Amino acid sequence: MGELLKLSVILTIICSCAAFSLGYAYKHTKDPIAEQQRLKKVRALKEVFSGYDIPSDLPSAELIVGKDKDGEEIKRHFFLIEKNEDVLGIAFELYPKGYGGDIQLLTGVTAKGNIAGVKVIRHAETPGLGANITSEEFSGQFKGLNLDKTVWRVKKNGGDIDQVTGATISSSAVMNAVHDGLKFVIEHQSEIESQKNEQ
Amino acid sequence: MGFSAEFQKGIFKDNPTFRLVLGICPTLAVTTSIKNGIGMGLATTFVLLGSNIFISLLRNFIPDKIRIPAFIVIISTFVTLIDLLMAAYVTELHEALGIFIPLIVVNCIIMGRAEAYASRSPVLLSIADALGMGIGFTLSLSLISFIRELLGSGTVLGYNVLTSFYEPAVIMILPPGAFLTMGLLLGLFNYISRRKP
Repeated sequence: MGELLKLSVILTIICSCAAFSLGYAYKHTKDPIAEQQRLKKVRALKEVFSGYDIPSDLPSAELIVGKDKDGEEIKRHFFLIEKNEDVLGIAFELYPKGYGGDIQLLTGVTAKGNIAGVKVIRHAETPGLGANITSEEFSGQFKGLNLDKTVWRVKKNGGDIDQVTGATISSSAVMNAVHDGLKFVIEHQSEIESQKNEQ
Repeated sequence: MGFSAEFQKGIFKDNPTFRLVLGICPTLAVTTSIKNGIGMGLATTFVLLGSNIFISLLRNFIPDKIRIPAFIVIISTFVTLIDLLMAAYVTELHEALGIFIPLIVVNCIIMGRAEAYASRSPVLLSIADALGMGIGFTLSLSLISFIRELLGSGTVLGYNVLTSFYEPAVIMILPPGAFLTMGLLLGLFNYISRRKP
């Protein structure tokens, strides 16, 4: 019994010291980490809406965009780029299924209904093939596209979109997601604007 | 053995990757670019240094029966520390290495050095051991990732060096390229060390 107690006490001491030092480290890195995350978002927004003035805090709205396969509602954030109360554009994130898992995209739509830009934030596509969706050549081509005039198919199938060589699944995933997102934003624009909350 | 002998053995004679063949999972997974390779090597060195120091200091305090849980708590504390620090100050590298930073906890080099060396050696020698092993690991990862990045992307540290006349062999930055590079280098190291008396 004495030994059991001794072992427990020693292990407790070690774990407490570990917990204490981690708590201290967490306290001191929490703010820099949050700041990095925020900067990352602002940087991505600046890339998507190049040439626009992006404040560090954007008003946003949360809307239900559909249901997943378990019937749970999917909610997404929409960020509004405004100038003197006029909405210049809406930015939103998309999570299409790629070849190697979910792709995270940031997309912007201008007030005229054109794509302002598409940026791949995170992906797990095959290096050298699907990973090229991050290239300016691919994701840059969406800029200026819209619902009416653009044929949302890859060139191979008679559309307007250049696909990444050897990566049909990745290319189509991005293309379809951008198309669906654009359609959703145009159809729900007034809803997004009415639900916005100032941050 | 003295400080410098302990330090040097990790670089070549007992190189963790090519001689002890430990920590192969992160070695194969993250060496797609030199930056990732060096980042992973340095993060592992940090954890190794911290855990070796503390395990060596506490070696007479920790009873034999609970040494494994005690080592794991110490190691995972340092892993969480480097994970937080990297997320805060080198965000881009932290994202590129992803899950492999938390997985340093189960890197056998660290547990191996704790069990085989730090738990029975004085602090100064444990520091030499950790630095030697850590730098040996970093150099190995740099070598593998240099070969893979050069042949697989035609770049060195992100700068184009080969692309004007060389079509990058994508397979080299895919998993098969990791096994090919690792296997050939392992064979080369065995060949060299066998020729030495």
